[in-house]
Amino acid sequence: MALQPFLALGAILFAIGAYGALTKRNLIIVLISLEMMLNAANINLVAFSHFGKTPHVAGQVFALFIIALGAAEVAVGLGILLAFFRMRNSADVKDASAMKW
Amino acid sequence: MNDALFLTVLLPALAALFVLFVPARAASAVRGVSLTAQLLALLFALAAYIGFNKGMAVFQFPFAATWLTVPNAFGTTPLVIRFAFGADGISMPLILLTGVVGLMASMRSHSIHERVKEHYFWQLLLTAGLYGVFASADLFTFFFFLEATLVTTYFLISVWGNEGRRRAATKFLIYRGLASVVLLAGFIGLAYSYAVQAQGASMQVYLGFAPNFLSLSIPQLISEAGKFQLSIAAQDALYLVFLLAVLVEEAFVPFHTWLPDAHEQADTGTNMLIGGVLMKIGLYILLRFAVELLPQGLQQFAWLTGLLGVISIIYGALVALAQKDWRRLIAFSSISHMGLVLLAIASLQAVGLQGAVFMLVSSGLLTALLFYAVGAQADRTKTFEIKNLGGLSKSLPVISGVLLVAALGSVGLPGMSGFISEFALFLGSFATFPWLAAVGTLGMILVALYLLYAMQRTTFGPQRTEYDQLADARPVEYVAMAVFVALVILIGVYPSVLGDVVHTTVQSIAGRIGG
Amino acid sequence: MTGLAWLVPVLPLAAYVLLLIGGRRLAEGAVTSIAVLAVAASFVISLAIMIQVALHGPQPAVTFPWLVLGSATISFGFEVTSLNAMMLVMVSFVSALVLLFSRGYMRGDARFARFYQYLSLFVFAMLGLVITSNLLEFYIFWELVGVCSYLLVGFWYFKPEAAAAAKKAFIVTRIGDVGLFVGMILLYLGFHTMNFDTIFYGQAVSSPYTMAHGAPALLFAAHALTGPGIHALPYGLAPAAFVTLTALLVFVGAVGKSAQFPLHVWLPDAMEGPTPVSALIHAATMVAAGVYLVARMFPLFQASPAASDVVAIVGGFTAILAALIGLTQHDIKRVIAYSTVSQLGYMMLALGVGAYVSGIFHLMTHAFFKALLFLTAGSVIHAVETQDLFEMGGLRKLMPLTNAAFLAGALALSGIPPFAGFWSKDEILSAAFSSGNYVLYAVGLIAAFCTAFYIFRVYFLTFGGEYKGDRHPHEGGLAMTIPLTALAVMATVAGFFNTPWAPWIANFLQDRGAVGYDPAVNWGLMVVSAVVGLAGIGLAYYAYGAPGRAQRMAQKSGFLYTLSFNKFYFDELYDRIVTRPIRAIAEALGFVDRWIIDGLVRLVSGGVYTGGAGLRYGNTGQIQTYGLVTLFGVAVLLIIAAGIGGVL
Repeated sequence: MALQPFLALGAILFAIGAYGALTKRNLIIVLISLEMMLNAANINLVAFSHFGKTPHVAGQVFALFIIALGAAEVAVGLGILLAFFRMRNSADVKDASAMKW
Repeated sequence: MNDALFLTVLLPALAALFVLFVPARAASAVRGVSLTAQLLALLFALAAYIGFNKGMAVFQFPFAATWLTVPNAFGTTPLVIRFAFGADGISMPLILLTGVVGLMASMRSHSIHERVKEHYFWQLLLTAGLYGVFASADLFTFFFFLEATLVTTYFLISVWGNEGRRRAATKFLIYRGLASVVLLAGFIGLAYSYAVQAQGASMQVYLGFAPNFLSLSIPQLISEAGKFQLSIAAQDALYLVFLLAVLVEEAFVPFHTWLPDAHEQADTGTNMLIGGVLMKIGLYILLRFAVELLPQGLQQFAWLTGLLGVISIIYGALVALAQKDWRRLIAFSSISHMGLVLLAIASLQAVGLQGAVFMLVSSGLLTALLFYAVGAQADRTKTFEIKNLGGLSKSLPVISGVLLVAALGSVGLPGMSGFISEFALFLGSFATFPWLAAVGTLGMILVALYLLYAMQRTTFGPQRTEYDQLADARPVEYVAMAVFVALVILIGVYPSVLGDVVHTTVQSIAGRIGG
Repeated sequence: MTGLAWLVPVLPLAAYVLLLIGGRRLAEGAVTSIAVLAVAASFVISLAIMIQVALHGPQPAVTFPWLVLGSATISFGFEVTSLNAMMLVMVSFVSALVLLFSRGYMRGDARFARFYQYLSLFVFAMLGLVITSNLLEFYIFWELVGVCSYLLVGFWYFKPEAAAAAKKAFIVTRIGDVGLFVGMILLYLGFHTMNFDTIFYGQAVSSPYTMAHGAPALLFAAHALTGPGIHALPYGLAPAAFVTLTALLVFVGAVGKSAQFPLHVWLPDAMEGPTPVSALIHAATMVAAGVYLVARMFPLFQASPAASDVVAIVGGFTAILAALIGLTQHDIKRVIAYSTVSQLGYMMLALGVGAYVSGIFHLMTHAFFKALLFLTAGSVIHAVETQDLFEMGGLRKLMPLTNAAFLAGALALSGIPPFAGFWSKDEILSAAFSSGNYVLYAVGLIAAFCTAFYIFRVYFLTFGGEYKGDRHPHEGGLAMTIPLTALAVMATVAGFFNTPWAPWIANFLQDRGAVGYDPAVNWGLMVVSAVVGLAGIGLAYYAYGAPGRAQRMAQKSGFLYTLSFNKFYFDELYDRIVTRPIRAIAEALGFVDRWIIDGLVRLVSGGVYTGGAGLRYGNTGQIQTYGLVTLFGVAVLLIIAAGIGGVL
């Protein structure tokens, strides 16, 4: 096995996630896309920790950190989303524009 | 005695803090505290002036306190930031000037009835800042107090001014703030260049060279300037930076438009402080830093500097002729007079430098007096518009008389401080720039034109019926005006009271820079 | 006695201070006494000094250091030379009489004490100017004289004309003052001193005229280039050029102060002041200062033939110009004012052709008869309360003393022997003639003819014929008649101080050797002068002896009359080419300042504000747009990084 397929997978996953985060209007989908981007980074970290020039376990440790952080982020994000939905009765990104101008 | 200078700065600042704790409704207590502090500060300044050793061209009354030490800032040596004070023959007269104008402005502010406590708070802080600027012997200290004057003046204009005060205050803040930024760059460059040069680095490694010591002390820099010359390129570049800062700071054409606006909007007490003292800082910077530390840079651009001075002289005088408001007229008159000083500094003659200090003091007193008299007049007539005035000699003989004295003093009448200043300034200027100076003498005619024109419309002429019942000067006004008039005449008749203090320092500077 | 010379100016100063402090509380009589006694005491001391100088010669200057400036010390002090001893006597004498006269003239004025206060200051300034030994000090008093005249001309500040005239006087003389100022600075740069003697000779000498005789130009060159502290002249000028330049600049100052062409326009307007002020300005103080300056700086002018020529030509031209204007004026004071301008022209002419003694002699006699003419005019104005010649008349019978006094002054001015003016004016004319300046001589002669005509025109219109007004003119009190009598006597006899057979003043002024050019006595020229003066009087009698004849003469002379009546349109000319353009430039610059320079500032601040306000709308609040832009930015950065070889 080589490094490149993992990196390719990571890149594809990141691109899909970015596309989803920037274009989907449903906030839940946006959150899911964000998680995909985080996981793309995880794949890269793990891949480098095994195939990198100086393999080291630290990469996998960081991946675990990011998973934990991602879980916390989803919790906060869903909390905001629920509050937003209660207030505006909508889960559309376009409606979350109170910070304009 | 050695702490006299430091006390002049400390007293008003402490009084400002004290005023904060006085209940706002005890307005007279606030006034009392302020007046006492100003008076004491003036007495300390006077004591320092009298005790000043006229035979020595060094910083006297040194006082220094470390404020902050950054360990290992340069290799193993720390960067020490200090509050250091001291005065030489150039700054000593200006410190006394600050004291006089500060006290009189405080007396004048009796006519303030809104937010009295805050007014005196800011006024005291401004005075402390002004004292600090002139009394500082350290780049950091200087800059600190310079910024203090900036903020305090901003509040004084923007709270107690007239209708357009916000705009004028903001303009003031932006202009002088910009000047401060440029000046800061100049200060850093100055300290850095001297540090680099002192360690014998050559021009090639100039920019990449990390000095292992950085001195912010002004006497230290001056003594280094006596030992070696800063490289020409560094001097040229730094001088241009300083010149730019001073042009904005001192409201030289074309960076002047903030000054008339500020004067038009500010109250009289603040105007006295701005016109009398604050507007001398820029040229003091030039005298202190450019002349002493960057003489070759100044020499390189002497012609440019002199030309800018002459432009300000003529332009300021001509525009003053077109002004309809006394305060704007005084503002342009002050621009014109400061142009003379710039011209004389550019001449790099000992006489010219001496004249420059004379003019700073003289113009400070006369501008403050003009504002005082015009303000006293406007308290009664409720207007500064020249065309609405007339015949005031009848109802306000004393105030009109003082206004006339101030105007004639500004015109440069012998027997008053303005003349001897102009004489020394032109003596220096004619020695170096005959043609520029010759054009500059036109200013002497124009100043008579606009001031006498304004006088003719204000105090001469048939009396207007609406001004029949005006009451002339009150005792407190008598005192203030008498002090100013007495000082102006004292300097005019016996200029050695000022000249002896200035002379040694100026001679030693001239000897050092070979002027 | 010369050690007490400082008292001469200080006494009037003391009177000034006294009146400044307590003047308003004192009665008019007390105020007058203080001022008059002070000046009279000055006169007595001056007289004693003059006698001492006549007996023992001039005294060295007494000086004290005033200010250390650069590497030099400027000293102030005073000195007594034959020239200024004579000036002191003349100035204090005339001033004391004018002060006394004012007692009657200003009676009841609300600011009576203020008036005397200013007059005392004026006299102080003039006496100080005369006695100083130092050019800078001279300049200080010189300007002080100017300010006093500003205050006094504008004394009736509520009259707009007086306010305008005061301002005009100050500004026009200021133009000249700047010339003197620059000249003074150049002299200092050249010679590193302000002392008159040192400027002239490179060293202090007891009398300026010990070394004046000889070759001044040579003296200067030597002084400038080989003096003890060897230095080149400023700007590398050659000695001749430097001397001419400085002499001309100094002369510009004198032109302003002494109201010479082209700066003569202020003096006639200065008539708006009270008449005693006019008398003082015209006789003893202000305008005399200009002539005195040239006389004091005489070695400098002697060293420069070119500058001397300019002085002579300007003087001659002014003499004829002002005399021509004086022919047609309607205001009694204006006629006399133009006569002053004209007579000052004579003095400049004399000094210009080198006739030092004649110039100063004429300054003295002129002071007497001009003060007399003004005071009699004041007496007349006081009595009839108008200044228009054509509303007077017949005062010979109503005011006999004034009539006699005026007649004495008029005869002196016309140069009729044996009155004072004859001797001095004749000396000037014969100096012009015998120094070869025939054109200037002719000009002077024509001016003398005009002078005789216009002053007797005034005489016949005022004192001859019948009184045309409706008041009851009568003589003023003793305070007015005593000065008139004293001055009338002086105007009659002062000429005998320097007659061809007894040249006392010439001897007095030249006690250490001849100064300048002293013409030989020429009886033929004397006769011509007298005849010309008599002819002028005759024509005036012819024209104004019978009604209507003068009008016919005026009509016949056509546009010449208009030209003269409108003072050759100088005021209008200056208004068009100087005053209005300056004001227009000022207004234009004011506009530029407010709308273009400050406009640019406002444009920048407005631009910043508008830019910020516009960019605000980029903040849509759409999180996905932000993300897209960020992504795009990262991509661009990556591409750039790749393009420059991976360095980021």
